[in-house]
Amino acid sequence: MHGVRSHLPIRGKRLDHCGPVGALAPVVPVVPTVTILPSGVSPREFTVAVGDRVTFINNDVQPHDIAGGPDPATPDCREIDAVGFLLPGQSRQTAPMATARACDYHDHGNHTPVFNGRIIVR
Amino acid sequence: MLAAFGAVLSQPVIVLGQEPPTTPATEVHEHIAVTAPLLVPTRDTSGTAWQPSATPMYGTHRPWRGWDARLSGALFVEGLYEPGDRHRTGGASNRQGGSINWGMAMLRRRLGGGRLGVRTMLSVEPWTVPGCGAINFLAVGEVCDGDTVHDRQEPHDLFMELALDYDRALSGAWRWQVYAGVAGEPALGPPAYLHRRSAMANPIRSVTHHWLDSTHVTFGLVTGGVYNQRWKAEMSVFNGREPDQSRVDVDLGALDSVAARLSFLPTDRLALQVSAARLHDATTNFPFRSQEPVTRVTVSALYHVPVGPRGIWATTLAYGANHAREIVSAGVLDATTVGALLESSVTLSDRHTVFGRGEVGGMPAHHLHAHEYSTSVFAVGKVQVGYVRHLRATRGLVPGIGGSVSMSLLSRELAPRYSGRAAPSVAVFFALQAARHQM
Repeated sequence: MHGVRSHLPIRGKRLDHCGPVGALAPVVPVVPTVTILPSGVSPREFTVAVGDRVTFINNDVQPHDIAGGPDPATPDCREIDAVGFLLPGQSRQTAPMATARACDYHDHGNHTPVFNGRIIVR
Repeated sequence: MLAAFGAVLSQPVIVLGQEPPTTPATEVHEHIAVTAPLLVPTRDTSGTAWQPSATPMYGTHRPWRGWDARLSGALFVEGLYEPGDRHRTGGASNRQGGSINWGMAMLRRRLGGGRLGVRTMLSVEPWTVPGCGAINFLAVGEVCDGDTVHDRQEPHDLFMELALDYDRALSGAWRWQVYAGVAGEPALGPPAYLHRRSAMANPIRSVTHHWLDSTHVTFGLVTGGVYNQRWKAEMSVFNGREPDQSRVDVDLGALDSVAARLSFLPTDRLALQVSAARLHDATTNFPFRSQEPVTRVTVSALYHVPVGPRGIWATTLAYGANHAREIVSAGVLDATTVGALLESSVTLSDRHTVFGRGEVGGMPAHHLHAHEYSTSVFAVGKVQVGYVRHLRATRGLVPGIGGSVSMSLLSRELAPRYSGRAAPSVAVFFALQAARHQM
């Protein structure tokens, strides 16, 4: 994965702080995350594997309505529609990204380009 | 346009009905006593729909070069306020001004042993309703900016009706009728809300419009029927595709949708109808919407009661059901959704109108662009009450000042989009409507 924010755990990595000393830490699945900020979505583009879900977190003070496709007139990548309407502070996941392809998404309620992004599924 | 409309309305009334202009007005105004079929019976309303015969006429009849001309119309200049919106088509908007309006002209004359009618209905809403339509919580349907419209009532097209009708005696009291046009209303649903007496004082469109009377602007239709004084059976073939987002053209298409309607007037105060249709490509403009036919069934009752010499109480009870199989985000929504409407208005002395409307229905979530629930259907409702103070009629037009308050009732899942499970709406408006026809 490139472009994903650095604080995210890496797929399959054992996290030492998660269990008692000497015990195997649980494997934490990677949940690629898109953060929605007043300035736009971050990251704007990144890559996930087929079958992954993507979490969208709304850290803006306004609600956002995330849907697949580059704009309302071109709906696409229906997995992303599962995110839908997010109040400030809310988060929700996409459905598993089913097909290897580039998936654009947009904010259905705010068509400003900074709220458009792309998920590359490989 | 309004000036011309008012000037025509202000001309002296000479004739109502069919006979020579020399006939004294007092005689031709005796609707019941006229033995030959009236050119414009009081039960005739939008398209070929019927309303109760005991309905006052609004507008006027004039002779014009051998024709009997009927003019009517309405104009509302409105201010709308809907706090709490967060997601409607065309951008979040809590306040809006605009004008809802329409004008209708009908010419009828005797021809070949029957009656010929030339009908047109126009609206300048493409220029007076900003954006993707007037803000209106839970109103859905049609397309704007490449997206389906929700929480707005789309502007009417410039050409709402461009049609001809012809009707002639068949046998005994029975007559046959043909109605055809490039724009008009097929034999489906109750009379369009613009023409329903119970809704005439109210510029806010019903939420259940797309379950009941949304086909009132159809581009391409032919209707044939037979009727007598009480019964009417008719069938239409028409282009059931909704108008596109260009509101000033005529969106002709194949006449591949069908509808049938049975109307019954058991008394002069009551009009009943049941109708059904198969609508092909009704929402063909949007890829996620149904490409399979929509089946619609409607049932309605209109009840009109005089209240004093210059008043009327008009009530409409209507139920509609749509069955559609639609491809949506999370799969397929194969569902029958229903909507029910009860609306009523009381006009007293042509001075005061109090109106109200209550609606409940099952709204597919994706019609409201609730993508994360795209295979769900949510129960919604809306109630509205309003009042209009009609002022002195001038030149055949009645000005008025009015307002209404509404409350949209939402499911828990939809509540975040409307800032709560009860979303209020307020409207204030100036109205200019055709006056009651003087008897």
